[in-house]
Amino acid sequence: MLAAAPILGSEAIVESTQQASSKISCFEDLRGRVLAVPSSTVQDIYVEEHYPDIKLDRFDTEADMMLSLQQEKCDGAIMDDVICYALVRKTQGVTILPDSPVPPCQMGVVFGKHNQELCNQFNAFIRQLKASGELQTIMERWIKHFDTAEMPNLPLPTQGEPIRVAMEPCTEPIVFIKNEKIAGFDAELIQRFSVYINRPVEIVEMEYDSLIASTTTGKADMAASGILITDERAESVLFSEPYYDSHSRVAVLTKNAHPSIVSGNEGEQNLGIWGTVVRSFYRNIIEERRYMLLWDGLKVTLHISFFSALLGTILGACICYLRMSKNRVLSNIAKVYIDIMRGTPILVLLMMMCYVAFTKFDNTPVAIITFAMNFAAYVSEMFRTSISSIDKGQTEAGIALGFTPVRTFCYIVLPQAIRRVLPVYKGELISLIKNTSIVGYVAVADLTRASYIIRGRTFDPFFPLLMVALMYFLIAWLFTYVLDRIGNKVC
Amino acid sequence: MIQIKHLQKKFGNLEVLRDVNLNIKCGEVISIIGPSGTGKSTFLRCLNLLEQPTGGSIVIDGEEVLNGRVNVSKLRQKMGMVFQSFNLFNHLSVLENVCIGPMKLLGKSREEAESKARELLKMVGMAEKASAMPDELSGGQKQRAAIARCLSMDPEIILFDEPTSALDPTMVSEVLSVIRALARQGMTMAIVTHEMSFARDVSTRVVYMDEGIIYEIGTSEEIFEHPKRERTRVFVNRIRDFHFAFHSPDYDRFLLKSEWQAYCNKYFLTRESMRKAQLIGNALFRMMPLDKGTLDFYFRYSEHTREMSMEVLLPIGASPVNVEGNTVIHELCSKVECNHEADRVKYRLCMRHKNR
Repeated sequence: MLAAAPILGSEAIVESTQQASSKISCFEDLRGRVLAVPSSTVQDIYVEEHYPDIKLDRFDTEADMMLSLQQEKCDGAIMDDVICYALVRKTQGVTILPDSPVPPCQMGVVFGKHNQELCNQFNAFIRQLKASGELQTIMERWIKHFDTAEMPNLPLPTQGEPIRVAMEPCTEPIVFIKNEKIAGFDAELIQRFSVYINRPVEIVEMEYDSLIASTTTGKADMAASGILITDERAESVLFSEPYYDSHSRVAVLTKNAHPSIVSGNEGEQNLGIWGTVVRSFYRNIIEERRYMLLWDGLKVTLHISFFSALLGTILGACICYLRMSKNRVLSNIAKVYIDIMRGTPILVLLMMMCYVAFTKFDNTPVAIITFAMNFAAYVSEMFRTSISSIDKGQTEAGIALGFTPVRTFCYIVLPQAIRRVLPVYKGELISLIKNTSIVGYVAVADLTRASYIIRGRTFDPFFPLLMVALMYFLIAWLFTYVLDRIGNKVC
Repeated sequence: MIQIKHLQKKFGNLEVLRDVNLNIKCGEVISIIGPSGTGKSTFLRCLNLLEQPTGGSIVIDGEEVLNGRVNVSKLRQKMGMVFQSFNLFNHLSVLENVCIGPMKLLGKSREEAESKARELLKMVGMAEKASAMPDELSGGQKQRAAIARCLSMDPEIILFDEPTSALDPTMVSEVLSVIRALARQGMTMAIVTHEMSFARDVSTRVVYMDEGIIYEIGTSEEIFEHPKRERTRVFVNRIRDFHFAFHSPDYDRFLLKSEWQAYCNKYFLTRESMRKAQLIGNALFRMMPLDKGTLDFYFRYSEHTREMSMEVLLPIGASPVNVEGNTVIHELCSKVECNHEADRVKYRLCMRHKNR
């Protein structure tokens, strides 16, 4: 695969034999190569332990692993069989290896330790499904016919206290977004459970990494997204009875696979560059009204950006006031605040705010406050330097003319300070807008998250990322444009 | 109009103003002169409370302003101030600089404020530059605009804090003539300045400040022509001292020579003056009792009148010497005085002026 093109005939023979022998026909052939794994999963741990000579590349989503495979950054991608089948069917030129050394694992639903009662109810529900054979039907429907499978039309309960279920809707066919609605076998199980115990369900979308934690912090009552049962996890949370035995499967590129394991000829008609672009655009943006996902994400990003900028500026002005205060204590409080905020990664701060400090609150306002706090630390220093860069004579002249100190500040110092701070403030604002893309980590469905969801379905990185980049650019442009207009008015 | 009594200002342990007493009457033009660092500017800034005095009293129109019950901002509106560094509002045009006070503080309409502003700008010769921004102006133009801004509030008194010190020599006169015009119109003013001839011309009274007090006060003539006190005299005549102490007949000739040379270079003494001074000096030192103790020698040069004189303080207990009898001294000095200071004999020799 990485071999250089042969130049001489004799070498060509050597090359080809080498290539033939380097074709992958089973898991053992991956030794000495690069394997993509979903990070900190059973596959990750098992392969690392038993195959130290396989280099592991860890990813957050299976879609990313598949992309890496297609770009030949890795030689194989190991994942749960249900996901693997769905992915391979959507991706050209990929073949599944017949074997996998990773022992099967069981999928379960996660509950917080305090939620034993709900867990018992769910177990009873699963036992009933298993006994009636319904579970088998549901699984087969989603795994074998996932592209045609639909969610059942159940009479969902609306009364009563809702159960909050944490899910990451980026994995087909477990949980994913189809026609702007949640679908997949986990989603169906949850809906059926909702009917079973006659309580409505409230889906809380979040990153896979946050799912399990959310049940212990109380952000959600239960979590389901094809979560595998491990001893380590079982120490901190409750697992339901397993409802599916997941086997691992490895996907490799067909061109690297030994011919004996490649089934059938999956040639695809060549659409040409333009045709590919149009098809990709249609699949990523138009199909299943995916632009609505982007639109909703855009609204969330705008909402968060606007309010954190507004709140952060006001807070920044207050911090600046404290920082410039003659009172040593106040000034030091502000200084410490600024140092802490600037010295902490915003992502860590955000997680701490959502999962430690304000677990009982909705994540969007908490995220707004977090960004505002961070933004305030930076802009307060900008305000301070620009205010103190204004010559003291200006203040003196204003006061000598008969203005009170406050009015002198408003009429004389502030307009000049604003003019000076505006260029750097704009830069900081843009960086705030871009920083908001991390809210996906705390389950806020913003623009970046929307692109994740789309990529989770289409495995095509180009258009979702392009559209999102374009939208961030437009938001940044819009904000600075408005700021310029305001700036021109003020000074 | 303004009575200042026992005004005191300390910065930490540094006592800048010790005890300042002054009455300013309506229509007076008071110049405040004095060496650097003697609190002239601080005094002016205390008057409109830009600096809070640490003691004493300021009574304006019968009202005590240091008791904290006065509306200081209102007070300042009646008391304009012109700064050394102009301090025009950089974000406003010249016209807006002159308008902002009347509009925001006196509640005048824009039209009213602008027509008044244009009038004032015309008066200071800045009407053409009404729409210019401060950074497009020369120093002199900035200061004239600042004066117009000050006048826009119809002040009862204007405080000038070294209005020409930051200007190029070529621009000093344009600002001074504006201030002169104001003086002619009867505006009450207090001017801290280093322009001695200007202070002499324009003032009704001149204040010489030194050592944190008003050291001497009087009319221009009193201060500049007949100063009563030594420091005032030294200052207005810009007298420069050269001092050397002889401790024994084996004094360090080379040190004396190099210090004298440096002194002459610093104050641009002519070769002729130097030569004469050296001749007198040599004659003097030769007849002095250098072995009797410390002898102090002073050479005084007034940059203002160009007069040169020497003073010799004989050692304690040393008897007088016949200085007048020396032919060189007789030839080169117009006057030789002898008197006693404490228990030391003092000779004062005035050198003949070149032109006489």
